[in-house]
Amino acid sequence: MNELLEIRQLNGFYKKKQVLTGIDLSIAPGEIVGLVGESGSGKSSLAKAILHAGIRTEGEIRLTGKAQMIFQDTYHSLNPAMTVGRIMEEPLLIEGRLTKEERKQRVRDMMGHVELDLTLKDRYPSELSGGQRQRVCIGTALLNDPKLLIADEPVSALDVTVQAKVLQLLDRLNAQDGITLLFISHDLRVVYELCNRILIMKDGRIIEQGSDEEVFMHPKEPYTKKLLSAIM
Amino acid sequence: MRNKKRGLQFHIAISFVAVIIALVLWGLIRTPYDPKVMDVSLKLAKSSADHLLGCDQFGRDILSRILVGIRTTLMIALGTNLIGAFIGLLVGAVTGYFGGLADEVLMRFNDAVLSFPSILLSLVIIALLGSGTYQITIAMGIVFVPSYARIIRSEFMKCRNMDYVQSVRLMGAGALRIMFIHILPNIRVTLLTSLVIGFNNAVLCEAALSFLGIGVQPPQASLGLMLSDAQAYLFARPGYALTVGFFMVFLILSFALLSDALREDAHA
Amino acid sequence: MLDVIDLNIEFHDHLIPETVVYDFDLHMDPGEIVGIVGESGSGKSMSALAVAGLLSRKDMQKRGKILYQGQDLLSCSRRELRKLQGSEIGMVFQEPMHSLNPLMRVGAQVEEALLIHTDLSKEERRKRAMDMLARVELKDTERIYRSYPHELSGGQRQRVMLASALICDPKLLIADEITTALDVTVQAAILDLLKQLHEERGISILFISHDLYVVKRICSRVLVMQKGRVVEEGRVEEVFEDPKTDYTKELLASIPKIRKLRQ
Repeated sequence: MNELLEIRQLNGFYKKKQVLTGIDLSIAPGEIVGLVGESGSGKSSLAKAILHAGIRTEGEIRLTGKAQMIFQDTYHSLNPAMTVGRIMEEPLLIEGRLTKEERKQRVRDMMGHVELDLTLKDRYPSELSGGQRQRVCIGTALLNDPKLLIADEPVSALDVTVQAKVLQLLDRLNAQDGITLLFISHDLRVVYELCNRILIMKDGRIIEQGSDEEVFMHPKEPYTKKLLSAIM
Repeated sequence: MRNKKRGLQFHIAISFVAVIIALVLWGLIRTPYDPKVMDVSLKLAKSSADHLLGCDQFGRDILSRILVGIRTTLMIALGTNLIGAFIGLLVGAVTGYFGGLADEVLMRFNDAVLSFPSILLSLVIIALLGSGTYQITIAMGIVFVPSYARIIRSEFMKCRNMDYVQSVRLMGAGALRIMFIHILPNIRVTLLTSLVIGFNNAVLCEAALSFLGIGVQPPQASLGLMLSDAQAYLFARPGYALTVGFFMVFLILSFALLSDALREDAHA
Repeated sequence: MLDVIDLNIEFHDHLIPETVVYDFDLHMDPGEIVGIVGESGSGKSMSALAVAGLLSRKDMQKRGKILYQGQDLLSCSRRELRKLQGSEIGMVFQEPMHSLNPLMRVGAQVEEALLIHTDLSKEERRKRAMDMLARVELKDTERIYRSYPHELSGGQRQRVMLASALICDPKLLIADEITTALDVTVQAAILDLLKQLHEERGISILFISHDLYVVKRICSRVLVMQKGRVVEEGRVEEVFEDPKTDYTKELLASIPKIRKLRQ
């Protein structure tokens, strides 16, 4: 199968500091890949490298199609001066192909798709709950028609009951629309629940990878075992 | 929805500003007397039923001149801040958003300009342009650019790495779109409060320049010019200077209160 | 040792007063670890702050009683309250970066409570602080003592916070989401440390968290809060094995299990 994302021998630098070392990674269309690591492991740097945002890279990154990203801090991910409807319309405005009516219709459809009540269209981000805001972020990202969605700790700031629902949404989007997902998290439990393949990062390297069952049931690296023991 | 409790200060500020607007409107519709007509018989007349605030050294009605003077002063302050804020916004947005060499060069230039006292700098520009209402508006406008640029730059620097900016960047939005459609609306509170503060500075600066005789030229009226006139008669007719001074203080106090109230309202 | 009776907390800084905690009751025996779980807006942190005597007396109205060893924290004087805070009741918060003064060396901050509550000399204070830093399992205490908060990692800062909260040997420790901002491996280490301190010193801990899993690991009894009310209370095993209310069931069901959604 043609890979959606291929990374070969990638080194990444932030200012003078090397934050990524010898990363090899390929993601096939339709996969949900979990990227696990603690703070400073380089997992967010890898995301930035894929998006060419603020990380200087050596090596090869091949991405077919567009990538979009959603973040942990839902409050700062949405422009506080715009209404939900306006925020979600933005990618369509930038693209500039659709008429005003078509744009409005696409936004309405997408709101339904990510299970947002249509009455929230005229609210500002500060008037929404964390879970609702994350849905707006996901919907906006999807309106841009990405092949790959990178989610950087998208549920870490949410309450557990809300967390579960957002995870279900991501899972459904993958199953229904075939969105490929790179899911970054420090929380192995969440990653295990959602992902088919898991990568463990430490100190800028991918130290272990495999299917979810392999990594959870038969971890090879001592660090992975330590991570697992912390949550078992 | 819970409603915020608006402070007493907010209401005071609003009513003060309303009084000022009423005075300006009064001056626009009809002044009690023609502010330029002299009457030697009324030279330095005390306040009376005919001339509520008395008359100046040429026998002109002080109330009428104040009504017109406030308008002149406010128009100059408004013009100054529009020029300053507009150019300052462009400079601040570019330097703050892009950073790098443009930022270094423009900001060092900015520092150089800021290090001159504003009156001195206005004097230099007026020396080039000549004196008069439009000239001092332009001169002061230029002098006000650096402080606006600095404030707006720091706001843009704060916003440029926000997640929401990152995500529209990923959508392929251009720099201009990000700067003026996405970031600008988010700095409106800062911009508004600095405009109000800038307004006060402009009122003071105009007063100083007109006091020095290089600002608004007679027979036009402005608060600064009137204060300059009144100073010569400080002992003969202290009421003249006090009256003009009172209006100037009132003007400045109102806008200072307003800027405080606006800031508090935004942070509450 | 701690009895909270019918605590109601009401905010008054808006036009319409808003009650954030309704009829909160809590009884803690000496040496117990009690957990309060809830999602955001459940009132768990408000209740904890009230117990620590840290809520403003001006903008909010509190009804009920908070009896600490028979003394009512809500009606006692500010002076008496200050005497209890730090010496009898210690508190640690979620954000170790914001809870430490960035301009003060760590050592001085750990000693702060001793300076306020005891007459120890400078040397004695230093010795106690070094001991305490070692007790919270910080290595290289000499260096830590002299460093500033930004020079430490998140886990180290949280240990420093614990050290400064525990230095006067409080009998009650209130821990508000103290593991939330930490990496999982560090989280586990901090929980082990708390448990150990609890066993050594018999300190009572009121442990507030949104993370049921963490609460299960450390607490013996748990209160589940929702929208300002305690909806369920009981021994940890009971609540986890056999939840009574729908809300608790939903909470438990939301914890990602080692089980797939699809399949």
